[in-house]
Amino acid sequence: MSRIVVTAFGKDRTGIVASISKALADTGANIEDMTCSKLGENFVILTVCGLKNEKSFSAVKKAVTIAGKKVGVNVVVQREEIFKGMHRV
Amino acid sequence: MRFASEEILETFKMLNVERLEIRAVTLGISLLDCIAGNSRETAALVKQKINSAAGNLVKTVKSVSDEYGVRITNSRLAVTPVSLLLARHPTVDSAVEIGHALDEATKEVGVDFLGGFSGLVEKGITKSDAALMEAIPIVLSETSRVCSSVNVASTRTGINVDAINIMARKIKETAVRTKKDNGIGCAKLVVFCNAPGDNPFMAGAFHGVEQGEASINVGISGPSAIRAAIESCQGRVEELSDCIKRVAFKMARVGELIGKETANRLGVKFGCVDVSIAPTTTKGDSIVDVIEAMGIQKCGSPGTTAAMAMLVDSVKKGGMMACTRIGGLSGVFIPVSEDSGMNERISEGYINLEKLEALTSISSVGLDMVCIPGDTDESIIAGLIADEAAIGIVNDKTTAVRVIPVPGKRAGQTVKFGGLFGNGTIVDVSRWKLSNFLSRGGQISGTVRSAKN
Repeated sequence: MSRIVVTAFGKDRTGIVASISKALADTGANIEDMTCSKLGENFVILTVCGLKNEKSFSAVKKAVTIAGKKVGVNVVVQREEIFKGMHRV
Repeated sequence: MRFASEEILETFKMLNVERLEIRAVTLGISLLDCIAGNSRETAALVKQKINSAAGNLVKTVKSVSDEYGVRITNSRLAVTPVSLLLARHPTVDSAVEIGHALDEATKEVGVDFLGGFSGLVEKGITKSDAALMEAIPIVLSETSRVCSSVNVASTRTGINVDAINIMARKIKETAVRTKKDNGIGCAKLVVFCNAPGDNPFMAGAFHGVEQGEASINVGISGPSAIRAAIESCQGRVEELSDCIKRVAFKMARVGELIGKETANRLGVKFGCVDVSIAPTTTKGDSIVDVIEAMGIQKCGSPGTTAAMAMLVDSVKKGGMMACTRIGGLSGVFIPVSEDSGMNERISEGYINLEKLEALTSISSVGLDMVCIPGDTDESIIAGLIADEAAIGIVNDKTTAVRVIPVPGKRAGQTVKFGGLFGNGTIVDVSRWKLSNFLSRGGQISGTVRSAKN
C-alpha cells in the first residue's frame, strides 16, 4: 500500500485538525501517524497516511487542499518515497 | 513517527524555500530507425517517432511533479545526432528539412527544446557531417526549439582543426542570421570536446548511439540549497566539503527518484542523474552566491578556482553515493548570461574571459553563454574553441564553447536576451588574429593520455 505525507501549516485557529482529518477520512486515507504543534502564531500538522488504493492520490490531495483553504492553512501532499530517498541511506 | 518532524520540515524547506528543483527531465530517443532513402520520408518518420515516443512526456512529468511535490522546470528531448540520419541523402536541403521536422514535432508534443541537431567530427568529417554543419545557421535561425552541437575533439582522437575552423565560421553566420534578436541563435549551438551522449542539459544534449532505444536522464538544480548549507557551516574546509556532500546527496536522491519514476511510467529505461549544479536567472540562484558563501569575497578573485574545485568534487562525491548512475556532465555550470551573479561580476571586472577559461579546467562545461563583440574575427573564435578543446583532451574531460558574437555590440556593452537566456555583458576578447596556426588545418593528435591500453 502506498503512503503519503501531508504537511499543513498556517495561522492557528480552532478546527484545523478536524478539517484536515475529515477530508482524509472522507477520501479513505488512513492516518498512521500524526504530529501537531503550535509554533508561535502558527500551527503545523505533519501526518503520514496510507492510501485506500493507488488511484486515490489525486482525490486525497484535492480534498485536503480544499479543506485546508477553508481553515486558512496551506497543505502539501507528497508520496512518502521522497522522504525515504532524501533521509534514508 | 515514521519520519522525524525535522526530516519532513527539512524536505519542505529545501523544496519550497531553497528552491531545490529538477532542472530538466530529458527523454532521449533513438531515431536510427527513421533513416529512409529520401529526406521527405526520413522527416516524416522522425515526426512520427517523436510523437509516439514523447507524446505523454509533458503529462507524465507533471503528474510525477504533483505527486512528489518537486518542481520540475523543464521537460526536454534529445535525439540521435542528426548527421547520422543524413547518410543516404547527405545534402544541406535534407538537413534543413529534418531540422524543421524536429522543430514541428517538438512543438506538437509541447516541449520547449530538443537537442541533437548534431555531428561527431572529432576525427573526420563525412558528407553528412559537412551538410549538417553547413545547415546549422539556417536551422537555428528558422526554428525556435532545435538545439545543435558538434563534437570537434576527444581525448582519444585529439582535435579536428578543420572542424573547428568550420564551426567558428558557423557561429558567426548564426549570429548574423539571428541579428535582430542579438545573435540568440548562438545560444542554441555548442562546440564540444568529449561530448557525453547522456547529457540532459541544453543546448548540448543529444541521444548517443550507445544509449539504447530511449532513456530518461535528469539534471538537478539547487545552488541556493547548497548555499544555505554552506552558510550554516563555520568549520574548516573539510567540514565545509562534508556539508556540501550531504546536501548534494539529498539533491541527487530527489533526481534519481524523479528520473526512475518518470522512466517507469513512460516505459523506458532510466539513464542517469547529471549532478551538475545549474544556476538560473533567478536572483540568489547563482554559482557566485555559492562561491562567495564559501568565503571568497568576490567570485573571480584569487582562491576562486580552488573553491570551485572543492565544490565540484564534493557535489560529485555526494551524488555518486546517492545514485545508481551519475552521468552527463556532472560538475558546475557557469552559463554566464543565465547566471545573474556571474554576469554582475563580469560587468564589475572581477571575472574575465581568461578566468572563465581557467575555471573550465575544474568545472563543466567551458565558455558557456559568453557574449563577445559582434566583430570578433572568426579566427579568434576558432582559437577560443581550440584552447577549450586542448584543456579537454589533456585533462580527459568535457569542455565546450557556446559564445555569442552579439552583432553591433562592443566590449562592456550589455544585451538582453530575456527568459531562460538572461542578460549578458559583452566581454573583452583579444584582437590579435591567429594569422597562421589554426588556418593550417589538420588534426592535433591525442596526447599520451589517448594511449591508455
